[in-house]
Amino acid sequence: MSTMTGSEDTGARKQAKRGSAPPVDPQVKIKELHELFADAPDLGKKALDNVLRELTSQVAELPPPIESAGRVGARLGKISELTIVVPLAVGGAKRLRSFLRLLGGNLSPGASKVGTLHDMRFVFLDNDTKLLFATSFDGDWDTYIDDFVTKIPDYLDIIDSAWDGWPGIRSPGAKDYLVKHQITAEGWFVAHPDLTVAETDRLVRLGKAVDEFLDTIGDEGGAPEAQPAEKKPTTPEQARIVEQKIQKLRQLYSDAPEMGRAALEKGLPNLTREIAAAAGTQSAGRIGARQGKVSELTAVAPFAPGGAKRLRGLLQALEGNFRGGDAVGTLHDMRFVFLDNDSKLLFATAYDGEWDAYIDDFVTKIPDALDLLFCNIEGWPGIHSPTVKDWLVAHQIPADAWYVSSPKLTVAETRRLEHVGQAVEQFLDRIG
Amino acid sequence: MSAPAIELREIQATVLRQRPAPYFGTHVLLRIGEAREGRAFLRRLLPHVDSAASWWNAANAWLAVGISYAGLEALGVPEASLQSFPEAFRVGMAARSRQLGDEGVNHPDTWDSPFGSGQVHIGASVFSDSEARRNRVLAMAREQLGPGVSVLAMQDFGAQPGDLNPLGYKDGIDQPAIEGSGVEPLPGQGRAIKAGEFILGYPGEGGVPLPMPQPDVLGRNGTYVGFRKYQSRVGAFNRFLQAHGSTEEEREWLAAKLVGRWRSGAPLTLAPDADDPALGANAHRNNDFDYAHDPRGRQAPLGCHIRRMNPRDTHLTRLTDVNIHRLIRRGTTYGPPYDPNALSEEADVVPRGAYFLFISAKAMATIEFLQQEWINDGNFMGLGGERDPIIGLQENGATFTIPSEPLRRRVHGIDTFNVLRGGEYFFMPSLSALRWLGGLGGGEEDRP
Repeated sequence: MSTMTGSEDTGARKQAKRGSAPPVDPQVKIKELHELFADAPDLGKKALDNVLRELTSQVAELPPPIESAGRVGARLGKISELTIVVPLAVGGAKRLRSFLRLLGGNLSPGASKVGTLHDMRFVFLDNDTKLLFATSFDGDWDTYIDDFVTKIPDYLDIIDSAWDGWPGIRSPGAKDYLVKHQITAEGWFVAHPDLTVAETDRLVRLGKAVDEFLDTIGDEGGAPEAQPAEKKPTTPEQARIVEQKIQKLRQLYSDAPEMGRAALEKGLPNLTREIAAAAGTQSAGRIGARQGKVSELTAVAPFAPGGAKRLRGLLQALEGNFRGGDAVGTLHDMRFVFLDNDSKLLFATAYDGEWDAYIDDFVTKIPDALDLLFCNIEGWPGIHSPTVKDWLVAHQIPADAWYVSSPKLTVAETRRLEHVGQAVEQFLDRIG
Repeated sequence: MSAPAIELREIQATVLRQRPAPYFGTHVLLRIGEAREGRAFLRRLLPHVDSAASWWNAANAWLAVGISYAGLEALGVPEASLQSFPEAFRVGMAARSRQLGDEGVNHPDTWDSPFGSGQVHIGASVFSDSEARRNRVLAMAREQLGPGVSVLAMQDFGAQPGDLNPLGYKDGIDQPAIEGSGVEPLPGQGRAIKAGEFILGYPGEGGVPLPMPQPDVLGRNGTYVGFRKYQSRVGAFNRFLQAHGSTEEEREWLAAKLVGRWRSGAPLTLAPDADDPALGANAHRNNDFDYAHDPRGRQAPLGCHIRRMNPRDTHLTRLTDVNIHRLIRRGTTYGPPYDPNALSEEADVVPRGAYFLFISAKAMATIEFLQQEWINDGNFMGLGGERDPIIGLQENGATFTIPSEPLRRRVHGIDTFNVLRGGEYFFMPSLSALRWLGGLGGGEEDRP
């Protein structure tokens, strides 16, 4: 595969649409930033001064700007974000939450069928009156919705029949409904902008084969025999629990719109299998959901006076893209979305492990970058405050469902596999 | 910018004082039956607790005192003050087993008594350079016990011949240097780390002091101790070396690759091909290196024990400040010395191993971080799920990767070589704080 050769790999990032935007004098941008932060809290102004040198280089180098993911949404490289906040119909939150819980908050079986989804979360907002649905996915928005329509319409209808005013996934009005409720992120970061879900799967297979190859030729005694995956038969007890869950679902959906009830019945054969297999999500430390090694952090917080304007200006100066995200080394993706007429910020990331463990590293390593971003939020205590962890936790809203396409892959492991892939291609080029 | 002077007269000696060589000592775990008796005991003990004022003087015996959260409760510390301690300290080490990854054979359910029972209130340790002096201090301390304070467990410890740990390596090398302590850093120790990382009340690496238990007199100049008892499975360790090395030379090479140092303490980075006992014995040379010329771990494997515990300038995959994850370690070995010929499974259960005192102003958070990230995972070095070969809890089919030319070598079937047998968190108060704790009864010392 030629896309794996070194030059193409870095090239893809560079060509990631410098676009036709006219070159901007960095000094002008810096001046604009200073003006923008004139009314920021002292902490923010100081942070801006501190990071300006770093920022100068970022702004001057013009990181690849994010672009549009089809009709709405931001995209970086091959990866797009979809962020939707929809009003929930009466009783919708209760139905949907129970449904998600029955699946253990884990949507893997259905979601992996789509083949383009990197991650997906469902988060209830504003006392269960709204649902945040946020994904990162490959390619074009329109194709993505079409995938849903053809591949998993019933799952979708079970979920989206909880939405107020939803016309049904097969309705010609479905796309317009989504567009109307979609909010394009103002900032969007992806760790591996060139790796689609399919390419990632290929690298995982390649990495495994390389390890087996090296074990066979390099290690005394060779590799241990691969253990066949254990197949656990379903016990009568488990079957009974699944049956109970199905009954509960039927009850729950008895007051759903006709469309939702029909979808449930149609989807039942598959659902039964999936409820039986639901592995569930784990907790990501203090708060938040985790699947395998990848956690979600979703926070909604009100802007400080003038904060929305400042943050938008800052994100625009960075073209919406954060090179700093790479330095953290655990961020799969990160988005900044402005909600409710710029009164609130939605901050959502997919990251490795637990953030609690590393907060102290952020404090000593990137204090100014964090103060610069979050001084725009009401009540930010400052990164050095001992209450900063509690503050973050207080604004975090744990997802009720969380899907990750490759739950075993950390950012670092993905990077390692990229290197393995490149080395293998070079090796094959040389002998071939 | 000069660092604030550290109040050495207030800090317990063990924070700065290295154990002597050879060393002799005893750990004593105590239970307070009655608050008033407990406070009286502290008052009697106080004159015998050494400060760090003459930290360099390790020739005499000295006493170190730590108090668990249950102990603070038992002493009658006021509720508001109790609540000012961090959550992980309040619930104790056993209750944090999930965050610590203390599972399977390391799970608190399997621990030796009295660890994790909630009964351990005070941990006192005597350190000395001679058995006679140790015995004198211990006898003196026992005289102070009184009726309401009982001994739950006592464990003698002491240096093995050659100052080796239970798996046969020289240990105790590479401690963090602390700013303003007056202790001259050894070559290779790196820049001195802000005192606030190790002692409460001083600015830490983040520029501000860490949150401190209240009132000030209780928190200031104190620190925390993570006390962990390990038992070494010497048979399993030797069997592993036998299985993967057909000659003595190959086995010692593998043993060095696991740790990053030869048995003598000579680091692979400075002695890549063979042990160099003179180098190992020289404190001014045996730690004087970084990994600038070994980024891929061809000398010291990325996953070896010392590179995990102090990555120095290794490129890490996550945004990490290596200076905020360091601990002062006081390792104390117990049981018979390392036997290179012990291969049986019976040898795995011989009581021998080490008690560690891990000292830091945020010991709970640091130990949890190390357990999660640097010991029981490999992601931070780009090693997938590989774990620390010496103190990691190994899963079935675990591997250890040795980067080599032309092909990396991967050793399969690595076992858990050190099993956790128990642990407690202690607060190690300043001398003023010990006085404050002893006086909580409000003048009871004057009453009969």
